[in-house]
Amino acid sequence: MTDETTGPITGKRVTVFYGNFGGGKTELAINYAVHQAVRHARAVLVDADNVTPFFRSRDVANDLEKLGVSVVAPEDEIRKADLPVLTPAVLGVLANPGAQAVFDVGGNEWGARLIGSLAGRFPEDELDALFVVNTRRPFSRNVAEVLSSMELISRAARMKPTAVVNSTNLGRLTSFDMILEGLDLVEQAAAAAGLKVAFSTCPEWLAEKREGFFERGGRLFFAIRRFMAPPWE
Amino acid sequence: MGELILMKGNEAVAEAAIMAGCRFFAGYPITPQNEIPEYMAKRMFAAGGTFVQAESEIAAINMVYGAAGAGARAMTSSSSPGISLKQEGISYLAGSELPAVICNMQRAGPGLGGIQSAQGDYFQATKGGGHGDYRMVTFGPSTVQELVEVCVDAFDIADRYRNPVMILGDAVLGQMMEPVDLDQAKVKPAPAKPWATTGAKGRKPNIINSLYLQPEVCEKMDYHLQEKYREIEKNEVRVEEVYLDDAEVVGVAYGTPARLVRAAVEKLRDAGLKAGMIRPITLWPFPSASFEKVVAGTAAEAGTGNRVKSFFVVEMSSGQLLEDVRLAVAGRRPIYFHGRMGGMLPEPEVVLAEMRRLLTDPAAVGGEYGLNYVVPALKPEAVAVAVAGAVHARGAGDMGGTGGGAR
Repeated sequence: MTDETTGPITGKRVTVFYGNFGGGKTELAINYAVHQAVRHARAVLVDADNVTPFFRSRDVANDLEKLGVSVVAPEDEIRKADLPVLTPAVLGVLANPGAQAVFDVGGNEWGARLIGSLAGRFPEDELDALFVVNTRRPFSRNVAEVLSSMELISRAARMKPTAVVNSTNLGRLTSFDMILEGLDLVEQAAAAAGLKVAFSTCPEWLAEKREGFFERGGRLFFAIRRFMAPPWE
Repeated sequence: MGELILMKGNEAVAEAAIMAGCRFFAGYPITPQNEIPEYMAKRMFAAGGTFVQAESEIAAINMVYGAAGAGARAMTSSSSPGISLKQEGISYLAGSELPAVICNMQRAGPGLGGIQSAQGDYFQATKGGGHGDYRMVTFGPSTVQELVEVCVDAFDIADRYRNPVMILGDAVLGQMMEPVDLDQAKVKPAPAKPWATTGAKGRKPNIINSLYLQPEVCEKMDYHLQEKYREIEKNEVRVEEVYLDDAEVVGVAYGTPARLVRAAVEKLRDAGLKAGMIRPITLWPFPSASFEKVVAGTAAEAGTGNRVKSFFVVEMSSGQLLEDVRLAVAGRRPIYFHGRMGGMLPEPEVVLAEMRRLLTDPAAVGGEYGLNYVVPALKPEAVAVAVAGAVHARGAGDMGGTGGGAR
């Protein structure tokens, strides 16, 4: 039986979400950090997105603090910048065996380069390196594109994925069938890379619960609550 | 209908350009538009075209000049400071009558400004940022889907009138992701370009030029351009009119602020209040006729829009779109303005509250947020002067006719 609080192949101390631009990494990382905070009383979310200075987890840091998640990101005048900056707090998080850490990495190979600079510092035995794929995004539309993105991004991150996450979504127009359709493609790509699919994301309005993991039809899903809505919604 | 995919504005405009037959792109990196050249770098080669990361913005626009002169559908993109660097090249494109598409995902200014969303380049785009008497068709789309559609339209208009066309977006529009249906874009094939420098074997050489040392010849060229601009004003206005049939207060905005105004209008309608909206999709040519429709006529002429009591302009700048609205309204109604700058977005609550107050208690309008001011309506005797001035400024006067005579 699946442990529905962690998923069968995730739940380690440090979780890294990386992949193409716009795959849903930020919402996933935020929700996962909130989930970890529920399980462990506290969690740290490392906002390692330095390529797109918009729609980043640091923008909702105050809301997350209330949910038990500390956000680590450059502060003060460079908070809104797109400079390749990692604060020393990141090394503290990696070295501290008590810290539950979630890394939200910037998109594509350019975003992944930042964690590449931390190669050798991630605790190998305590690491879930999850490659995130949204098959409704450009450059993730077929198995060949997914594999080629995975190759480029893993190389830049200097980190091989331990599993793949299916985050197929179309924002507000996501349907459950669409997620399953994406899962087929992601499973094929993962198999070709010798990996397993850890879980699929599912927006909360299609999910059986607001937070955490749930099973449906023998498949594992993780509920996503939206934190980053545009101001007019 | 095609399959929906999730795209960032920047990716969508790049894909739409390739769909429209763009086979030459030159650009130089600047936030917040980097996904455009990045996407082009990944896709253009497979599409059989050429992508160049130029050594500067100036080089990029001049490479586009060269490619356009040789007959290619060509494009460059940048963000505000980079677009300033391209102004000379844009003037040369206009002077040489070359079709090209330039995309500006605006950020805050002046100077280096900031990398968040702003709309301070409205004047630069619509009033001629470069030198000389030229005009540039300027689109101000407000959704990712619309970015796709105007991009395809932009290449078509550029070719049809042999003129540069700008897509004036902003950082939020470039960065936000929305589902798009690429099949909705109506791609038209590029027309034949017998004027292009495609190799002069067996024919007289074509010359691409904007230099006319004899003033008589240069003026003739200028008149020709002006006639072309009048044609564009006649044929290429794009606008969305929302609830104008019975609107009492009309919001005016383009790009990202239009999303906020639209949301406010819908909420006010739900509350039974008569809010409406004019959303210019082309910023030049400006949809003056939409304003004329709702301010002309007397109270006795029901249905001519005389119910409109005032306009409410919202911008991420200090009142640039506002000037075109003032020209169109010509003192016949008061115009209320709310603007934010520096990369700050107008707050949805403020936009909604101000518009609600305009409908229910106009005397109380004017909050403590952002730049708010009121352009009062003129006294009736002054309106005639203002209307005449606006008509002249819109170029609907007799200048074209004189020009025809002078040629």
